[in-house]
Amino acid sequence: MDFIRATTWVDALAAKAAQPGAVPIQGGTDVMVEINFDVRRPPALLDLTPVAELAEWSERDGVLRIGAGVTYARLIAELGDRLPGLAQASRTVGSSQIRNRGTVGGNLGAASPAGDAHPPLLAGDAVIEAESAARGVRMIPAAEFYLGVKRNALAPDELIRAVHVRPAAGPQYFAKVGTRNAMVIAVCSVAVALHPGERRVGTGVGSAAPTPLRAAEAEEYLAAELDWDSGLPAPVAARFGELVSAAASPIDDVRGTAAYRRHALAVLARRTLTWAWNDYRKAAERCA
Amino acid sequence: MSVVGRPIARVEGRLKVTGAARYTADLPQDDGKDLVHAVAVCAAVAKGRITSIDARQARAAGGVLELITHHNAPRLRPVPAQEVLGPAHETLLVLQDDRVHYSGQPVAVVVADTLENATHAASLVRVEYAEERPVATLFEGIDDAFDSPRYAPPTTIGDVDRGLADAAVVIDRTYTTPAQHHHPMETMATTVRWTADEVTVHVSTQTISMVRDGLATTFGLRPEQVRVVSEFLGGGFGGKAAWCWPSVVTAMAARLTGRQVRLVTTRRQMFAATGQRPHSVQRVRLGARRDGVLTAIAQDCVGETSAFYDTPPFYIGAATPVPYGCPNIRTTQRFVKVNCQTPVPMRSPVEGVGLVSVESAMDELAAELGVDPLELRRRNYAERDPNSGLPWSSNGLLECYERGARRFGWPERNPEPRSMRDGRYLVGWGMATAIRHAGSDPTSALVRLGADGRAVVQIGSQDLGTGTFTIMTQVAADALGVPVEMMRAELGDTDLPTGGGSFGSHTAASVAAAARLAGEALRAKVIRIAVADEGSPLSGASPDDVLVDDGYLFVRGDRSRGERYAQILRRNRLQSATGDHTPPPREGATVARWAFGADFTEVKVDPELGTVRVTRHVKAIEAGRIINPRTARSQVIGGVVMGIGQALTEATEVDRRDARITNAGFWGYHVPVNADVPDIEAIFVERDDPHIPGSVKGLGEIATIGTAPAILNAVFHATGKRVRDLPITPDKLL
Ligand SMILES: Cc1cc2nc3c(=O)[nH]c(=O)nc-3n(C[C@H](O)[C@H](O)[C@H](O)COP(=O)(O)OP(=O)(O)OC[C@H]3O[C@@H](n4cnc5c(N)ncnc54)[C@H](O)[C@@H]3O)c2cc1C
Repeated sequence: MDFIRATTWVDALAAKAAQPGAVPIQGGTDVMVEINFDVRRPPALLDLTPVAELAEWSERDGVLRIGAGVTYARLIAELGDRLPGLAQASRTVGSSQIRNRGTVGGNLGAASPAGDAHPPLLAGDAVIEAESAARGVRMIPAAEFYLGVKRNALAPDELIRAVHVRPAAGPQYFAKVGTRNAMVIAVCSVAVALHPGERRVGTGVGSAAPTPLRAAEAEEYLAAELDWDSGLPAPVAARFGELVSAAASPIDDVRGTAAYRRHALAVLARRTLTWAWNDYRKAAERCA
Repeated sequence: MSVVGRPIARVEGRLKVTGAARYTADLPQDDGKDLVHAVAVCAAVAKGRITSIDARQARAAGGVLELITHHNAPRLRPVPAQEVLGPAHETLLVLQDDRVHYSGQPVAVVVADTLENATHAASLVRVEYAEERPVATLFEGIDDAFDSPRYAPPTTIGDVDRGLADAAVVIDRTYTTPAQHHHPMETMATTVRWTADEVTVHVSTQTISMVRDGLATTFGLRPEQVRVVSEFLGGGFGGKAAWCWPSVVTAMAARLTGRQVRLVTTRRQMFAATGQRPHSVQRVRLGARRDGVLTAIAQDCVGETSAFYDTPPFYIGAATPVPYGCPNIRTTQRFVKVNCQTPVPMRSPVEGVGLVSVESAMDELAAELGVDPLELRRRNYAERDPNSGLPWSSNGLLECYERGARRFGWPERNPEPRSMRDGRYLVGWGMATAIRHAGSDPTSALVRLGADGRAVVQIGSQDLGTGTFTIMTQVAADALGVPVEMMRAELGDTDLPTGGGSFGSHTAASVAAAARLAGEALRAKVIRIAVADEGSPLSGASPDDVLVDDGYLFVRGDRSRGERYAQILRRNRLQSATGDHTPPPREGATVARWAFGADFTEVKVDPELGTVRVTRHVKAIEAGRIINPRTARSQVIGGVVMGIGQALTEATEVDRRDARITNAGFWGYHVPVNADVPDIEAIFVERDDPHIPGSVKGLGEIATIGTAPAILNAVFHATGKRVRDLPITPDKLL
């Protein structure tokens, strides 16, 4: 197995173009597990950790651009106030060791339906910046990024450069159920993000279908039903939960049954919406 | 001043936290160039015959020295069950024929110059099987369940049928407990060097003497030709109590290559390197009067055993007659042959599994009668051991109930299920009784004293990581009369005086008894030398009048007339003495020796999601005298954590189609993590026990027995829903 060390982004793109079979490695918390378990034996590893710009984030024109190599630990510490949903999800990832190594870029690269970053990225309308030496930059909305179980929209010669996302315009929440209280892959998860300016609620659902997904019908329902100047009627929250649950196509596996997942999704969706709504109303009342 | 009973820090703690302690996989350090590596290829099917093994590619791979299959493996001699020490042993002589009995059974072993080369070559071995349909689970084979009058005879006390007929209330329930694996941090490591007539084995084992005897028998050697060393262990929980195939195949590899060979099992292989806590189904019937006094206890268990093993491993209900004073008790057990590894003990194979159902049923009875669960147990306190009819050697159970309940705040409990809340969470309080037989093994110790006044105590037992080095140092220092800093403990080498296994909660009692005898013998010996030594201020004193304090020997009543051990030894060369502990025979016993405990736990349940959190746990234990409260407390914390796993997260899952384990790794087999573990409080109710040397009853297993049923009962109290199928995963509560 070859080990390619890219020191600049240009080198990394060139290396990936020259050897599309090379597997990028960032934190390695997915890649090394797969190699150790002999799930795959790639011809080459492309080490991205020396590429300094991947580990940076910046803000321009009201959009955050988060390098693919920014770790969960830094995301929580440096961006937790502006991306509360993503930060909440990040706090539930693995252990502090994993959060010190693991990255959102790696979560996107792996594209596991259970990846915890995906629901808040979907709910927050994130866009993935992919790049290749041959064709340059391509901006892929999160909702179009996940194609199948552990499959994403990247072309063989493309790398993830960054994630673009607007700072939260309103309250955001993430909730997950696991079979224990930490170090656990989600049995199912839900993220909601309120976009008060657009009178819209974004959603993301994890671990309940072959890919992470938005619950489109649930979003449409809220867009039609919600009165942004009053409290959240319990039947609306409950119906929202049902619609989120209906958007999923869960399976039975060692972590949980499909029936449990459907049930829990409805509970999580109702709860996260209620928490977000309560925060929103409190803030609105303070301003009034 | 006595050091026994004081919470001194672990004597080997510094070595461990600085990384200086050498575990088996780190050994030997001195001889790296001769060392080669073995990797096992394990069966991908659970039942069938090997039709071909294509090893051409593997043999041709870089660095490969040897490839062992059933075609070229050394022939092994069968080990008669009764010849092997210990609670369980590997009767499957691996690599002897083409039969596969369980998925994960070794079918080939590759030896290469590096671990990487061996691992790679092992992946190139192609094995073809004529697959047969396996029995994947206990339920599948339950119609063919058989009993074993010899190894698991039914227990009958009084007349259960009449007891049930006379009862005002009968509880009749069936519970299931899953297969579980031990998962010590340290996987199984073995290094073997085989010279012309001697074999040296470094192995992570709970019983060096059993590995020695087992290897000697199978390879046709005399036990003296086999030296087994196991200095530091990273846990075992029973999984390393069995003598299992990793050490056998490593010895084969060392013999065939003439090199020093190391084999370290992967975490995945730990699901088949040793057996599991067996999957069980337990039907319990309790009969009681209206006031809760029991009139009958019946327990009928079915447990899995392997397809290739005719001696059933153990009897889950063996201790069921013990905790409660009931005139009519019957327990039975049947076995089902499943295509799995042979079950081995896991942190109390009897009480830790068999009392889960009994303690749950007691809680169901309490709910049925409207009697407080603790009060129900008090009303059924056994004045004598119901099983043997003998009086207790000592029994602190009632005090465990009382102190545990007080500390926990049990009287505040609202008996009504679903009545206690904390915000969105339902709160539940549950309790259970714990009991564990207190025994020991024949053990010899040697204490040596040098001219510098420093002493060494040696026993061929081993420290599982529980603190054996520490307590042995404390006991020997006290017995000899030297400060604890002047005593050093050595364990884990069959060249040392013979000790027993680190299992069955026997180690502390065995090691302490032998160390004390040896220390006292050496003290007496040196006193005799001193009083006969004209150069000594003690010359001419009566030995009975010589006292020892902090390494200083003096005549009773005259502290100025004396000298230190070092001074005597300088004139009289190195001295040593041995002590031999012989446990009282079980036959003809006049007392019943047991340890007791009571668990009290609080859970918080999310009623909509079914997630359970243990938020508080108090465990009161009477295990005689505690040698070291610090190491003892850490045993209890570990035991409770293990009970949390048993109740809520741990199960080895098997695919019903092919009998393969589907969660063979920590990614899928969930042990509790920090966030699952609440504050755990250990209370030690101490008792002097005139029938047990040093009053040491052992803590290893009582530490975990009682925890899982207490949690089950708390979940019922929180939710009103009774889960009888462990572990309680969230879906079972909806
Ligand atoms: C013990 C443990 C616990 C875990 N717990 C969780 C958890 O709770 N929740 C969760 O979501 N995940 C969890 N994971 C999985 C993992 O930590 C996450 O998916 C993490 O986000 C991966 O990031 P990484 O930087 O380590 O990725 P890597 O392992 O380096 O890469 C992951 C994948 O992304 C690709 N990749 C990396 N960078 C790029 C790039 N710039 N462009 C294109 N492709 C790229 C790689 O080729 C690979 O396919 C856990 C893992 C472990 C070992």
